[in-house]
Amino acid sequence: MTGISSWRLLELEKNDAAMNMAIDEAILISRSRYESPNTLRLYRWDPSAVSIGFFQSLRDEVDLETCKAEGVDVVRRITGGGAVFHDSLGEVTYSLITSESESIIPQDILGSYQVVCEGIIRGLKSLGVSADFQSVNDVVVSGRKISGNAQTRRLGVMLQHGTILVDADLEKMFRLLKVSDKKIRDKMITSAEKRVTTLKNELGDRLSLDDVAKALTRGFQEALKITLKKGELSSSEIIHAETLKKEKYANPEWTKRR
Amino acid sequence: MDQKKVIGMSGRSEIKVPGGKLIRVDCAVVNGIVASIIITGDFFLHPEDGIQKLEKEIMMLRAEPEILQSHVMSFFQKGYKLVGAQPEDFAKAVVEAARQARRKQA
Repeated sequence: MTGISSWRLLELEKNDAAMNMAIDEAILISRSRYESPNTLRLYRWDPSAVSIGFFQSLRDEVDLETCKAEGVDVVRRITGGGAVFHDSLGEVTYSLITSESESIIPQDILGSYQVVCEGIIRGLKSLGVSADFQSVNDVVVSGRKISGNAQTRRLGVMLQHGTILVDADLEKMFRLLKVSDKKIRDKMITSAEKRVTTLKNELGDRLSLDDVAKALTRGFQEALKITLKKGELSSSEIIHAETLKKEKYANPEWTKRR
Repeated sequence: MDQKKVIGMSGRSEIKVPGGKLIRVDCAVVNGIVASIIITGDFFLHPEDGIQKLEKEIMMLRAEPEILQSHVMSFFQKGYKLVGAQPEDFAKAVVEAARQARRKQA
C-alpha cells in the first residue's frame, strides 16, 4: 500500500506579472532536477495584469496603450491558451507543478486537465458552488466559465496554472484586450456576462481571496489524494526566478515574439 | 527575407474551431513561394516549440494548396500533440492564408 504523498504548499502571495511567471518556471525546472517537491502555489497579480498564451499575437490581443495608461502589466505565458485579465482584487491563480510520472496524473493531456480541475471543482463545492469540468480546459457553473486553465509539459514535469474568478470587471477586461469596434465591444461585454461567472455572482457575496485560496487547497488535497504542507521557495528557486524575470518574462523580446 | 518588405503581399486567415479555439495565420507569398509565415492563436501545441518548426517547414514551399496541406499534415505525425484543435484545422488555415496572399499578389 502506498501512503498519501506530501506536496509543498506555497500560500497565497502577490507579485508582478513577470515574477509570477518566472516563479512558475523556476519551480518547474527545479522539480525536473529533483531539487523541489511537487508543489501547489497560490498567487495574485499586483499590479493587475494581462497574460497572453504562448502562441498568441501580442499586437492582435492586447491594447498596449490602455494597459500602460492604466498601469496594467503584460506578460507572455509559457503555456498556450488565451489572453486573461488578472484583476489584482478579483481573482486567485494557482499553479500545480508535478512530476509527469506521478500516478494520479494521467499521461494524456486532456485527461490530466480533468484530474487537476477536479481540485478546483471540489474547492468550489466547499464554498457552496456546484461546478463542472468542460473540455478542454475550463471549469463552469451552469455552463458559465468560472475558471480557465493552461498546461505545459517539459523536462518530465507537468505545470498547470489557472485562475478562479472571484469578482470580474468585464468592462475593464474588454478595454485592455483588443476589440477595436466599440459596438462589438459592448456586444462582447453582454455576451461575456452570459458566458462568464464569478464567485460573487454565484454566492451573492464577496469572499476574501484568502478564503478562496484555502478552499482551493482543500479541493486539491481531496481530488489528488495528497497532503499539502506549507513551505517556501528554496533560495535557488528564488535566484532562478529573478534571472528568468529579468532575462525572459520582463524582456520585450519574449513578450513581443509573436 | 525581411517580413516588412513582403507585407504588401501577405494574406491572413482566421479559423475558429469547434470548442472555440482560434488559429490565425499570416502568410506572405513572393513569386508563388511562401516567403514568411506566422501562426498564432489560443490553441495548445505540445511541445510548444513545435510551432517554430512547423513555420520553418512551410517556409519556401510552393504556395499550392496540396503541397501546403500535405506538409502540415505530415508535420503532426512527428509526435506533436494538439489540444483544442486538429491538424486539419491548421492545414485549412495555412492554405487559406496562402490563397489570400496569392490573390493580393495577382
